[in-house]
Amino acid sequence: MQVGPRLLRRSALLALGLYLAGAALPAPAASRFTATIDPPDFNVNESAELTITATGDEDAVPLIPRVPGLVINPEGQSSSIVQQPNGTVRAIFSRTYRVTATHEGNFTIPPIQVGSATTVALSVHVSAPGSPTPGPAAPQAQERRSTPADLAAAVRAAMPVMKVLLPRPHLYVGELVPIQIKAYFHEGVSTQLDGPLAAVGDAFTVSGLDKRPTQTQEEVDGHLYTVLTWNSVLGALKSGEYPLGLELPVTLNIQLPGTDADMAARLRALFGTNARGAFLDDSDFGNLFGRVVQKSVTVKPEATPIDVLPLPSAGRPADFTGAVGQFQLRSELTPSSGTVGDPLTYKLTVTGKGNLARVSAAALQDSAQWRAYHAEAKVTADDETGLQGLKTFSQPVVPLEAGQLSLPGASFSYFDPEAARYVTRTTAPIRVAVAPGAGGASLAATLQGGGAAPAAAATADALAADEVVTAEHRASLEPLYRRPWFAAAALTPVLLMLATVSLIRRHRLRSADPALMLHAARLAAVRINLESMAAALNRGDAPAFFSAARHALQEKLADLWQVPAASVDARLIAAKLPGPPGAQLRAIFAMAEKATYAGMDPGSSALQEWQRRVQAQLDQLEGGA
Amino acid sequence: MRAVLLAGLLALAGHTVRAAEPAIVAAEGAAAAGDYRAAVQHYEQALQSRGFSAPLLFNLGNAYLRLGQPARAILQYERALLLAPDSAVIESNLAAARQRAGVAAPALSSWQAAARHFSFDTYLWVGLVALWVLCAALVLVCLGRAARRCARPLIVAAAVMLCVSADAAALCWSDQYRAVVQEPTATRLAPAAAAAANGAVRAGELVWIQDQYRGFDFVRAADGHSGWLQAGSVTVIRAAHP
Repeated sequence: MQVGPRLLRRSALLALGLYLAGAALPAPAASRFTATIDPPDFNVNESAELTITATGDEDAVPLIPRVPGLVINPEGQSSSIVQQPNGTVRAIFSRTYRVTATHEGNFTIPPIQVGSATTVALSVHVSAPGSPTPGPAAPQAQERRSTPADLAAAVRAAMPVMKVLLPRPHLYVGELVPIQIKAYFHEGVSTQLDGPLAAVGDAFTVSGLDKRPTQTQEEVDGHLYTVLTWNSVLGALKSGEYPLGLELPVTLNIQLPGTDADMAARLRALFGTNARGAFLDDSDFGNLFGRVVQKSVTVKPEATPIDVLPLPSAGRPADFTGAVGQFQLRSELTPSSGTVGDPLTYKLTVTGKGNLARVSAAALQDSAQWRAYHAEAKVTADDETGLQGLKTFSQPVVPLEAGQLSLPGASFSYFDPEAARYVTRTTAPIRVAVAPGAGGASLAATLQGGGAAPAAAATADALAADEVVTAEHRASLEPLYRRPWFAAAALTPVLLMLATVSLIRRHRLRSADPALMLHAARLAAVRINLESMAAALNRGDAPAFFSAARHALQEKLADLWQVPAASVDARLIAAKLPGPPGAQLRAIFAMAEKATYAGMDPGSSALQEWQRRVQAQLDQLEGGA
Repeated sequence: MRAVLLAGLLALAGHTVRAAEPAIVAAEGAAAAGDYRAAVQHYEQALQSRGFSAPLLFNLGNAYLRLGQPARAILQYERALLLAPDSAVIESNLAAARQRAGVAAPALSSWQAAARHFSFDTYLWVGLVALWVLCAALVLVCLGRAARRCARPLIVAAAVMLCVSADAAALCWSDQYRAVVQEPTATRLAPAAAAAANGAVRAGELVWIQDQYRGFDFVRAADGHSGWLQAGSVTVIRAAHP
């Protein structure tokens, strides 16, 4: 091996080391652009693939330069996202171009501008058709394919490790202890979390796994690790020896030994056209550029059993309810004095570290001096894990007597795992001054009584006396609206109102109709003219009689035919009622003209006959209408 | 004629003053003698035969309380308060029964307390009258100018009455689903006897029935906790029948 290539190889190793170190660091803000061509040597009848890759958080369209003798056409583009264990996300944008040549020769693709950056220049050798081109299977660059053994070894080497840090090697049933769960990821192995850390099994409870882990860097045996740490609380559910089951699903991006065409092309792009063979001669260097495979694995802690001890039965207090930890007890009464019948609040507070949920203190009971009500409990945690805090029991109590009363002290028992023994905490009795209430010095009599008749009789005066039962009664206590009659009573006014309003509205509409008004006026005119006829008959005034008769008929016919009354004459009647139906009318009109203009007087008896005829015609017209 | 009128007046007086039924006479006698068990039996019998009345329910509640059954007494007092919402004596004995049962009266907001000054049915009556007045006034509006002048204040008054009664009735709406727990029992997570318990209710505690399913009532207590109870565990206050 010559000196030149050796120096070049060392320089390349140094550059690659820097490159990989940069990749292991948190993602930089700027993007990195590379351009490769594969193969760099081809003949005129073949083509090569130009790939421009952007790694980072920025993408830009490359400006492909014109190269005389080469044709560069876009072929496609792709993008992918890689998430690292520390949560950093890196994007890879890739564009490919097909490169063909019009003639043989050596060509140089000048640096390609991508956004504000430029790539390195690429050299291409195009040979004549039929001439051999150095392919990837050249002896000096023989690629070594990965074997299953390589893959298993690589997975083993990249496998994260999980450790659980316990404060003590053994626990007691019901005890809660703070633990640390640490997952170690090899620095440089790209890892993706596929799900949250979860506890499995029924021997323990682990809380706090849903919280975000803290991330640190640690060096162990000379190796650098990214460490995720969960601060949780472990609770033992049953006695015995059980391993703690934890599972963390991850995907590892593992680099395998061997090279592929893309990485070889990247090498050439980085270190020059003819450097490929020299680099790949070095097996260590080839391993650095091995293929990357994704492997989904589940990280678990070592299956070391945890010894869970049962709570001792010896010395267990009668009021022990399962509380394990270290606790303090105190009691108070607010307000500190009161009045008979007025409620006070008795507050019992348990503070400390342990399974506060299992803490229960005996509530006060009714006595001759106190009426005690239901106690309400409330847990307040002091830290994120909920391991430390306080539990408060609030119980309303009512003094039944006036004077200096005393509330009994309370007690609470728990098991102390540090001391490995049961502890009982007590509070002192509380003395309280109670003033007489409005109802007297004692309420006890009101609240006394029982099933026996004598006792009831003794307390009868405390209650309001029975009342006289009258005959008033109701068949049902259901609300009124559920009864049918109520619905009817509510609907009736609405329906009545709607009916009345619609009637009034209809009447108003009819009153305002011009046709109806004209009709009514004409009927009135007919009636008036008939009365005038009768008056003229009595006077023996023939002209007035026939004039009124004609007007009556005119009004009636005008109403029927919807024409002005003045336009109704013998001619119109002949036109509308030709032949016998109109003959009588025409005769009346002719007689009216004679009486008016010729002074004809047919005599009193004839007038009566004419009156009958006019009335008959009007009736006939009314019937015909 | 005069005799018939006199007989009618006497009958009316007897109807409103006193109901001299054998069961009630027997109950009053038993209560006076301190035999509250017999008094309860006779009052229950009278309740079945006559229906609900405030004095009858009150006396029955007293008998139950003196018999040492405060939960049943609370139920009868609550029912009596429906018919006589202003009765101080019923309120007083109800408070005593609650103390005896160890349960507290449900806390009411100021609005709810104000709305309960009258009964739910009273608001319905007021609303009904307001509806009649409103409809009549709307008819008057159609009649003429003078009638319209009279109708306007009537419409305003009726509309206000209707709104107030509707609001008050809405505030009291949940009262119709009130029930009294008769036996201390555990509430369950599901309507099944085998379902896990999620709490407990005390005898005499007031709960609101919110749902029913196959012999179980879903109830909410005054403190907000809820769960399923077997149907016989609670008795609804607004009963359809005695």
